[in-house]
Amino acid sequence: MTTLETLRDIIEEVAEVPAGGITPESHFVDDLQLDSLAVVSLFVLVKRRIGVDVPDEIADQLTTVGQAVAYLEQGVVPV
Amino acid sequence: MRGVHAAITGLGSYLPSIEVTNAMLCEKIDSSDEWIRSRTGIRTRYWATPEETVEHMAIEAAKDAIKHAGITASEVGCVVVSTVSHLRQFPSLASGVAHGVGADDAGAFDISAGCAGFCYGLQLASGMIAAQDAQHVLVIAVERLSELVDQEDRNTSFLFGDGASAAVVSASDEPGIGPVVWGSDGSQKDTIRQSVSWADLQTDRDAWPVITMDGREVFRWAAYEMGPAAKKTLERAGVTAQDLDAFIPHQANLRITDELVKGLDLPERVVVARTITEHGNTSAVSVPLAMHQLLATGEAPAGGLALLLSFGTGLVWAGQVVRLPPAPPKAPTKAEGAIA
Repeated sequence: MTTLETLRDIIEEVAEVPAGGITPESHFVDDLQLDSLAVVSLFVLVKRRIGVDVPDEIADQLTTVGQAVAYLEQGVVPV
Repeated sequence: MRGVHAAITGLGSYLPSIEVTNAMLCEKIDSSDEWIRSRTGIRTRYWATPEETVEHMAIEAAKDAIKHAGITASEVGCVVVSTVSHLRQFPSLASGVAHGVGADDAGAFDISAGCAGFCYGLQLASGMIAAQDAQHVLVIAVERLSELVDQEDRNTSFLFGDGASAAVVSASDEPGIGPVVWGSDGSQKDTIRQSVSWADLQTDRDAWPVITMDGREVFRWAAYEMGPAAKKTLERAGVTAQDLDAFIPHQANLRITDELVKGLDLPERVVVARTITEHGNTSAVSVPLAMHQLLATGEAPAGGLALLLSFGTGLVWAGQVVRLPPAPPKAPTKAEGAIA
């Protein structure tokens, strides 16, 4: 399963957004309507499934699905 | 001696670094070394520097007690601190002390019983050992009374000293702590007291302490780390989620409750307390308040099994499985005639 697919599954679980409608361009807040606690849940589940810890300071900079994928795969926040 | 099988196995103490003589204190009061000695027997006492905080003194005393007992900090199951001079209402001093000595898995809480506090703590510890809730309990008494003394009050300024002392209470083959005799006389509650209530200081609203919280971190911790605590609680009680009739977690936030429920795999019939919707987060009140509500409304059955799980500032947590009592006659309601 790719990182994007894993993220889609997690987002579907925490925000009840159908995975099919989630693209790398999807904005967590504007498009997916995730609130701050849902974002916390998202990254907790990411840590459980992928093993990567994303601190709040980093999570704050990851605003789209694509940015999160990039961080999880490369360990740097895309500019 | 009759008693439970718990004993004091280690002691440690910390006396702070400023030696204060009667003569030094008499610079501020109309008294004398001779007068103080004859009325109180006191020749000297030790006061703490700003760096010798209650936490610092408690940790140093506790480390020595742990060493004396010949155990490691990780074997301590609970840390009980008695103090009246920890100048924060929360978190407890005990949680910082537990962390400071390396007893990171221990339960931790403070008690308030003034000068009687150590013996109260000892009895709690003895009970914990007898109930096999811990193998070793750290009981610490710590005070920084110099900070609370009116140095110009010639009745009290010379009486009080600072310091910390700690005991390790451990399971033992022989009874080492006898049954407690304790009591209280609330008709005398004003005889030794804090001069004014903290509420009297509210005139300076900017200086008034308020609750501050890192909401996201608390959510992460409570929603995802309390699940394992809940499961362990069931295991210790020898029951499974299938045996439960109710789950009554601390009403911190509905989203936390929802996440905990997801992780517990509760059967449909288990009623889950969600009284936060009506009462808000009432801190330690929330678990018994929710229990009362669920029983009085018939949502939870009297005699059923309930999983309780509380957590909060410290951060600390505790849970147990209880058999629910008979339903109270009526549900909690707003007091009559109260100001709306």
